[in-house]
Amino acid sequence: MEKYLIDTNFIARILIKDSPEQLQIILDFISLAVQNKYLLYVDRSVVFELVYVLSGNIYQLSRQQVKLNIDSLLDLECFTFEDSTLIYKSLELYATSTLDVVDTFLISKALAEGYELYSFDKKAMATYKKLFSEIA
Amino acid sequence: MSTASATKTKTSKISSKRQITLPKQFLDYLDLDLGQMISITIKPGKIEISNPKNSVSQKLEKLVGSISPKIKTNLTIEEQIEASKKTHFKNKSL
Repeated sequence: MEKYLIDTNFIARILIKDSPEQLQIILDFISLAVQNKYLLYVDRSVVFELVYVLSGNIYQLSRQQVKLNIDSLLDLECFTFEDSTLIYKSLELYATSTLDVVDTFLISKALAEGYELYSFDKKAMATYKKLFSEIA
Repeated sequence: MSTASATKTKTSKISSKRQITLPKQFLDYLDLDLGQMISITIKPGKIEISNPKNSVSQKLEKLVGSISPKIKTNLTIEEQIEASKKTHFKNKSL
C-alpha cells in the first residue's frame, strides 16, 4: 500500500471544487484508497487550517457549518484522520464556543487523556476548568 | 446497480471458518465484484454490508463543490489558505 500525507488544499478542493483537473486527480486518489491501494493520511494540522479557511473572510461559514462540513469529511472512509475522535470532540466544543479550534483541541485532549491543561489564555482555561469540574 | 423495491431476506450458513456465502442477487444489488473489499458495520441488532466504493462515492457526491465563496476572489485555494492563516493569527494576537 502506498501512503500519502494529504495537504489542506487537497481536502479543501473537494468542498470548493475550483479546478476540475485537480479534482479528478483527487477522485483518482480516493478511488485507489477505497481499493486499499493508497492510504490517505490527514494530519490534525490540516483540519485546523481547514477551519481557518472555511470560517475566514472568503467562505464565512458559521462555527456549526464548519463542524458539519468537517464531520462529513471525517465520515469518509477513504481518509485516515489523525486523532479523529479528538477532532470530533474538539469541533463540538468549537461549534458551541468562541474559542479557537486549537484551544478546543487542547481542552478536548487534556480532558480525554488525563492531562492538566496549562495556558495563559484565560478564556481557554475557564472553559477547561468548567468542563473538568463537570466530569470530575 | 439494481434497486430493491422491498426488503429481501435470504439465509446463509456460517462455515466452520466463520465464512458465509452471499447470494449472487446481493452481490449484484451492491455492485460487488468477487475479491473486492466490503464494509461491514455493526448496528443495533444487525450487521450491515455495503460496498465501500459506493458508500464513499455517495458521500463525496454531496460534498464536492458544496461550498461557495461569499465574496468574489481571484485567489487560488493555496493562497486562500495562507491568507486565512495570516488573518487568523493576526486577529488572535490582537
